[in-house]
Amino acid sequence: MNRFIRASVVALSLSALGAIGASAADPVALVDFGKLTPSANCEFVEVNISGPLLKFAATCASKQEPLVAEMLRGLKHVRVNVIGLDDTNRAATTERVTTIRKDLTAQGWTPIVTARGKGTEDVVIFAKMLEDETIDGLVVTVLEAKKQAVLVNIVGQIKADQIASLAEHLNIPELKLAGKAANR
Amino acid sequence: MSSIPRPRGRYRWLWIYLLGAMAVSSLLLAIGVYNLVTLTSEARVLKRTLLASDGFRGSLKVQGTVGPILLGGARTVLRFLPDVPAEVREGLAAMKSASVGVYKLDTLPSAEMRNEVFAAADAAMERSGWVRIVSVSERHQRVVVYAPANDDDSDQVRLCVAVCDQKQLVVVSGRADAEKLGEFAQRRIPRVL
Repeated sequence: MNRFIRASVVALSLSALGAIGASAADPVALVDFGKLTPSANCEFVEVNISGPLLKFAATCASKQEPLVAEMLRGLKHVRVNVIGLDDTNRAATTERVTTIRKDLTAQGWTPIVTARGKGTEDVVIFAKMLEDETIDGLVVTVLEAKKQAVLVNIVGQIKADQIASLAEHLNIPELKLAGKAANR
Repeated sequence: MSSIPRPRGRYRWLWIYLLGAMAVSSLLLAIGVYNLVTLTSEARVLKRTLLASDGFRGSLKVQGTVGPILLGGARTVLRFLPDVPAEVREGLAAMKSASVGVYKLDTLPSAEMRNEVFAAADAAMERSGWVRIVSVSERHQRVVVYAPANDDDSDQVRLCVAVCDQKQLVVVSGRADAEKLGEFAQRRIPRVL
């Protein structure tokens, strides 16, 4: 139950603090993760935000964190999926994540980070690069210790030096890797 | 047999004014009481859809709506109560109106039933101009948050939330001052994930 409350607070705070959405999402960098398979016994989180909450998010952050506010103004859409895994959905979800990664590569997304730990964590981060080398969208795919899968799609113009700040603000550790990679 | 004397001249008009004022006051009072014990339109749509399925029937425990006047009154009262936590004061300061309904489900719904019912709620809310922005589920619990699909008013935030925990269903809708809610969220809500 505590995990459920925590996940709910996380999801609500994501909507409230607004890592947060767009009125007209860019169809190029907006990724359809397809049908995900939740387990009846595990956590399943879906955050899919667009609309005027973006303005709200930027307004919230503008006083205390103007840099974050500027970054949020550039975002158009954020989608987060956390899928708890057990025997009933592990194979299907792993296959879905693999397919998503293949599709992204085929669609011209650049894998900017590939990190595979000692059998526990499998992270691949893709970026949609524009011609002027700015990033138009990010996709974070994580398979963690066979216990959960995390999919994040951030749509909007993001500067490379803002990724670390975005990762810090959203507390997505995997995204910090992308920040380091993009700043190289 | 005595007859009641009929008011004459300007007194007759005074009576008419008084009766009219009483009728209007009664009507306003009735509307106020009705609003107090019912839900806002979006919360009503959500509640009706969720409780419409056979496997998801439930009984009312409590429901009501508080608007700006009552919330203003509550804020005024809280000023004189020193032991109220700061979070409550700040949260209340951000709220413009709130609607809450709590229902007890007759049976514990299965995961399939919950999925089916909440999918129907998504469709019904979408028809009413609300889109799902957050969904969290685990075992017998689910939290779903909706926001208006098109809302150009950046001064306020409107959300509608349904929480199903075991056999309890809570539906909440609220309207809050965007700036105050943002400040509250920044101070009080932990960072994500």
